[in-house]
Amino acid sequence: MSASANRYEKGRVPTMRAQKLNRAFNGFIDSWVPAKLMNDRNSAQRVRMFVISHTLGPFLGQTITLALLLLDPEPTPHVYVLAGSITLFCIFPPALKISSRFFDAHMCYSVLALLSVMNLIFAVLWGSYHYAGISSPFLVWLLVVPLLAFFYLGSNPVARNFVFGMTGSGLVVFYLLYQFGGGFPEHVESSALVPIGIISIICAMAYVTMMAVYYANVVDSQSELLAEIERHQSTTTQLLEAKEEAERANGAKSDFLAKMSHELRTPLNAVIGYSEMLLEDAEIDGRGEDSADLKKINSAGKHLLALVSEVLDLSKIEAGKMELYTEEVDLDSFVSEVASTCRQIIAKNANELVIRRSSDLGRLECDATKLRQALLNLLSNAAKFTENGRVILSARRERIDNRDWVKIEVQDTGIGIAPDQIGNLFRNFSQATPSISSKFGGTGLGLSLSQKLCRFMGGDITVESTMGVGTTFTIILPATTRALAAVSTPSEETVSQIQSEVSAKVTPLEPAGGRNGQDGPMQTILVIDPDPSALEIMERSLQKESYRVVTTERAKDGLEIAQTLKPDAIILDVAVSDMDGWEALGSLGSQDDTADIPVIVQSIIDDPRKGYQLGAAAFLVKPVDREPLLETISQVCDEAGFPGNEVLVIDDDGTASRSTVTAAREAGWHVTVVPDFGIGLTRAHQVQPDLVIVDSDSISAGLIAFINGLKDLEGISILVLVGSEAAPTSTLSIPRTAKSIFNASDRDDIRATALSMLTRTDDLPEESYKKEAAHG
Amino acid sequence: MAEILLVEDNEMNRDMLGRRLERRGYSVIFAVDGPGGVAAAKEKRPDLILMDIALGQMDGWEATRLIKSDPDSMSIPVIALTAHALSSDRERSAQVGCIDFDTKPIDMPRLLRKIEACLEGRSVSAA
Repeated sequence: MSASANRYEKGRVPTMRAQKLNRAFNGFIDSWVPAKLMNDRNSAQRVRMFVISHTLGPFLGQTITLALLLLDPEPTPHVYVLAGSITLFCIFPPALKISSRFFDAHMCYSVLALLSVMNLIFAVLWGSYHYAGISSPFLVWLLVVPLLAFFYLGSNPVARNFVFGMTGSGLVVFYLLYQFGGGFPEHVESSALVPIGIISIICAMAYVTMMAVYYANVVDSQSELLAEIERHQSTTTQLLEAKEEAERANGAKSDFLAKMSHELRTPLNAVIGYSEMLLEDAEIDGRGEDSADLKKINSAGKHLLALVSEVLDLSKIEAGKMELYTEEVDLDSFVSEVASTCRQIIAKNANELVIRRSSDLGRLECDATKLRQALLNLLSNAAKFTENGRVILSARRERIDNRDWVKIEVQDTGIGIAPDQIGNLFRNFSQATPSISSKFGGTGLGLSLSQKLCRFMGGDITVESTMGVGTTFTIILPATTRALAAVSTPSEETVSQIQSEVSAKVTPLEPAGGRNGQDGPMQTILVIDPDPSALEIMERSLQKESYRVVTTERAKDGLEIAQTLKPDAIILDVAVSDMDGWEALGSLGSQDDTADIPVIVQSIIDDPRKGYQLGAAAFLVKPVDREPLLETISQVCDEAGFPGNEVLVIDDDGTASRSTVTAAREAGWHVTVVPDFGIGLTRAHQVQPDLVIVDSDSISAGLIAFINGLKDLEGISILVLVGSEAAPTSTLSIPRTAKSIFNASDRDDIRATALSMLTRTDDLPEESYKKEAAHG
Repeated sequence: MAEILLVEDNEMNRDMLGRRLERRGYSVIFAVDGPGGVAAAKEKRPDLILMDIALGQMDGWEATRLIKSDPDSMSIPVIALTAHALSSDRERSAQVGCIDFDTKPIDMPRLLRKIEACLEGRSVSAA
C-alpha cells in the first residue's frame, strides 16, 4: 500500500510532464487534420495516423540517405532522388489541409494516401535497386507498405487491390530492370552496406513499432468504449426490470396489507375486549397488580389496532380502494365534538385547548369519519409535542374564486419542526428525527395518512413551523366535497405515476373560479390530441374554467386513463397517430367502464355522421373556437347521467330544431341531437329514448323508414314536425305510430305536445295535435 | 332482570359482549344470524335486541325490518351495532325501526348507558 503510494508520488512529476507533452503532440497532429474528417471517429483516427507517419517518418528515412551520402563515393543522382522522394512525404499533411478546403475532404485524403503509398513503394524499390538489389537491407521497408496503406485507408477492398497491384507492379519493374538492365548497379560493395543495413532495419522497426503502438492504443480505447456502452445498456435493462419489479411489489404490498389488516383486526379486537373484561374483574376483586398489567395489555392492543387501521387506510388509498362516504356535517358541532374527544389527550401534557371559530361556519359536505380522523391526528400530534403550552383549534370558512372552502387550523406552542425536516413530514413512516420516535413514540404514519385523506376529499394539509415557537397545521377542504373516488387517489404519487406511465398530464387540483367552479364539484376532462400545442391551449382554456384537465397525445393511453380516471367528458381528436381515432371512439363507447362518458369528437375531417354512429356525444370540426367548445362541454357534462326523460332529436336541416332543443332542455330533458335518420336509428336503439322528435322539411321515404324502424322499441313516442314544403297532397303519409305537427311554428305548442307525450297523457284527441298546413 | 337478545355472527364478539352483559346482571340469549335473530325475537320475546348489522346473507337491517313487521316482536326495542359512524347509518337505523344505534368496537360504558335508557323508556311506556 505505502510502496505503491510512494511510487505514485515519485512518478507524479514525469507523468504530468508526459501528459503535457502528449497533449501538445496530439494538438499538433490534430491541427493538420481537416475539420470535416474529424466528425467521424474512424476516419479521424486514420487521418491522425496518416499525419503522424508523415511527420515522423521522413526523419527516420533521411538517416538512411545521410548514411548513404557518407558511404557512396558517387552519390549523384540516385541518393538525391531517394532523398527527394523521402522529403516529399513532408508535404502530404499540408497538402491534405489545403486541398480539403477546395475539394471533398474524404476524396482528397484517399488520393493523397494512395499517392503516399506509391511514393513509399518507389523509394523502397529505388533504394533497393541501387544498393544490393534483391538482398538489399532497404527491402524490409516494403513490409511497411501494406501496414501503412491499410492504416491510412481502412479495409476498403478497392484500396486493398490498388495497394497490392502497385506493390506487385513495382516489384515486376524491379525484376525486369534487373533482368534486362544488366543486373543491379553496384555503387558500393555489399559488405560496406552492413552498417546502413542495421540502421535501416532499426529505423524500419522503430517506425512500425510506433505505428503499431499508436494503433494498439486506439483499439484499447475503442474496446473500453464498447465495454462502457455495454455496461450502460445492461444498467438500463436492470433499472427497467427493477422498476417493473418495484411496481409489482408495490401492488402486491397494497393487496397484502389490505388483507392482512383485516386478519389482524379480528384477533386484536378479541385481545382488547377480553383484556377489558379481565380488567373489570380485577378491579372488582381489588387485584391492583393484575389490573396494572391488564391495562398494559389493553393499551398495547389499542395502540396496535390504531396502527393496523392506519396501515389499512394507507394501503387502501395506495391501492385505489378507498371509498368516500360523504355526508353533510354541521361544522360548529363537529368542532365541538372533536374538541371534547381530544380534551383529555391535550390536558395530559398540561396543555390548554383553545377553540376559535367564526360564526358563519355553516355546513360542510365531506366524509366526516375521515376528516375527524385527520383532525384528531393533528390534535394529538400537537398535544404530544407541546408541554405547558396551548393548542389552538380554529375553523373558518373562506371564499376563494367563487368557491367555498373550509379551513381548520391546529396551532401549537410546542417544539416546532426544523425547516429541513418539513419536506419529509408527510412521508410514510417518517418522523422529523429518529430520536423523536424514541422519545415521543408513534409510527410516522399519521400525518401521511391525514394528508392523503384530505387530498382524497379534494383538499390538503399544509404546515408552517418555527423551531421553539410552534407549529401550525392547516386542513383545507372544499365546502362541498364530491367523491373523488373515481380518481383513484389524487395524491401526488398517483398523479406523477399516471404522468410518467402514460405520458399524460394532470393539472393540479386547486381552488379556482369559472364556469365549472360555480357548480361546486370539479369536473374532469380528458383531452386526447396528437398535437402537443393544441393540448396546451386546451388545457389552459379549460383550466381557466376550473375543469380538472388530463391530457395525452396517445389514444391508447387515453383509453387507459378513461377507464381508471372516469372523467366527466372526453375530447378526442380522431387524428391520433398511435391507433385509428375512430376505433378509439368506438372502443370508448363499447367498454362498460367508459360507455357512459360523453365523448366530444374533434376533427379536421367534417364527418359527423361517422362520429355519431360510433357514439360521439358531439362533433366539432377543427379549428374549434373557445366559446362553442366550452358550451359543448358544459352541455355534454350536464347531460351525462341525467335521470330524467331521454329525448332524441333528428335535425334534418340543422337550424329548425334549435328552438325545439332549447325548449326541451329548458324543460329538464336530456336531449341528444343527431343530423340524420341513419344515425338517429342507431342512436335510438342505443339510448332507448322516451321521445323521438323529427324535424324535417318534407315527408320523405327516409322519414317513413325511420319511423317504421323504431317499431321494435317499446314505450317510445314519436313526434314529427314537418315544414311547409310538405304539401298535403303528398303521396307519402306518416305512419300512425307517430304523431305529427305540420308547419309548426308555435314552439309552446310543440313543447306542450311533447310534454303530454312524455307524461303519457294521451287523453287528448289526435286531431288537436295536428295543424293542417296552411295552403299556399 | 331484563333479557337481552344478542344477534352477532362472530363467535368471539358474541362471547365477549354476552359475558360482559351477563356480568352486569342481564340475562343474555344469542342468535348467530339474521333468520335466527328474527325467530328468537318472535319466540323468546326478549326485553331488548342488540343487532349486529354486518351479518351474513340477511343483514341486520333486513332482520330488524322483519322483527318490526311481526306483531309478536314489533314492540321490542332494537339497538343496531354498526362498524361505521355514518349519519346514513343513523338514518337507516331509524328507518327500519331501531330505537338507537352504536358503533363497533364496543365502548362498554356507552353501550350500557344506551341499553339502560332503552329499557327504562320501555318500562315507562309500558307502565
